[in-house]
Amino acid sequence: MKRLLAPRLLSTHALAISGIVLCLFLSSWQWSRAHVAAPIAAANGIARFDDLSPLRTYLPVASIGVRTQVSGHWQQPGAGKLSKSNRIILPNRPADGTLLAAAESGVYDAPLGSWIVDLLVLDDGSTLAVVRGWTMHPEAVPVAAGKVAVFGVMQPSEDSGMSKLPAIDLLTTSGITQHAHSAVHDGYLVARLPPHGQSLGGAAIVGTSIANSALVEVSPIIKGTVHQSLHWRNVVYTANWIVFALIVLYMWIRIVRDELASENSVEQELDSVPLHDAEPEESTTD
Amino acid sequence: MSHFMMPNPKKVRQTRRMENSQLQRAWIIYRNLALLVGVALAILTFIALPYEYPLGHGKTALTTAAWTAHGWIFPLYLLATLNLSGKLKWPLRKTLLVMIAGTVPLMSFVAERRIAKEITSN
Repeated sequence: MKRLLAPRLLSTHALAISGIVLCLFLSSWQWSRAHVAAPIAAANGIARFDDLSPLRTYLPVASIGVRTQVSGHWQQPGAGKLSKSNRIILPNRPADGTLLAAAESGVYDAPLGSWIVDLLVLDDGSTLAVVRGWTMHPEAVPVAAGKVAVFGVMQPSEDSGMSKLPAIDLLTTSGITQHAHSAVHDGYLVARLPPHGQSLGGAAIVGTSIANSALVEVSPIIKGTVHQSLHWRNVVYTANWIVFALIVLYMWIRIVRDELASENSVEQELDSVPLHDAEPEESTTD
Repeated sequence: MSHFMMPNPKKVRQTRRMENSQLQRAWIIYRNLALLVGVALAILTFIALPYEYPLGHGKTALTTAAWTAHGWIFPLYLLATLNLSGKLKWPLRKTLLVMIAGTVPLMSFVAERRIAKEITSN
């Protein structure tokens, strides 16, 4: 035990242990990438927004397309140093987002207009981009103001998971961040008309605009929730990292064993040499 | 020196032959995997990667399958290297270098050639 903890071997131990820990960590990371859970469950059809979109991390795949409801107030212009405008206008889009994913060419059998995106400051102070609706005349749509409760579904940032979009302006989280004044949720919410007979927990729908302005309801690009099976590539990589960890372990054992063995043989050599023979024989020839 | 202290030449030949056949097997396994890893990595770096990114096709079913196949072959290559290094009593540094050669495109071919030279010259 004492010899195992010899200072000479300590760096080997540290290196090997950190190597194994790193490999196992990467393995579990690959496993989490390989394995995506079913869509987040929603009581009576509406999930809590906090369950869907935790701040400062990517929007979970399981949150895409799940119905939710948020409340807050619309961000007011001029409050931030960077933002010239509060609004993001996405031209050359049909109202039906599913068409965007279907036709890479960007040619649709539907009229093209703009998606109007305003920023909602949620009650906890974070910012969420809301696609309020579609219009042919974006300049005619007043900037939303006041407190509001919005019903809708979450969509991922358009640069991730939506690689097949045509060459149009994309609604990305990094783009949204440039307009926002506080921490931004990844992805965006597409405002939807609440289902009939669904109460929004008493919150009045003030200025959600779909119901009471010229905006047309937008259909999200990813329709419905996303069920994902195992990604075999990531499963294989999970196994890879375990093999790498085992190789590090094996090498660690081999190094230590060799080290101890060479120590032993040196000791044995020293033991086997009688003391009076230890002095080198002087050569007598000149 | 009395004769019973001499090693039995028949036994020596037998163990040597056995070691040789084990070495032979380890070498053949290593060679095949080095070749496979080399070809797989060359296809991935020179065909699949440019197809996915500069050409903008992104991940496709075929390229993902290729990466997955490489994911199976590469750890086997590492294990084969480890096995051969044990038989040839390589120092650790050399073992690691040969392993790393499997991650550099075309380098596994070079490593395989050198090792072949080393084995046949002995």
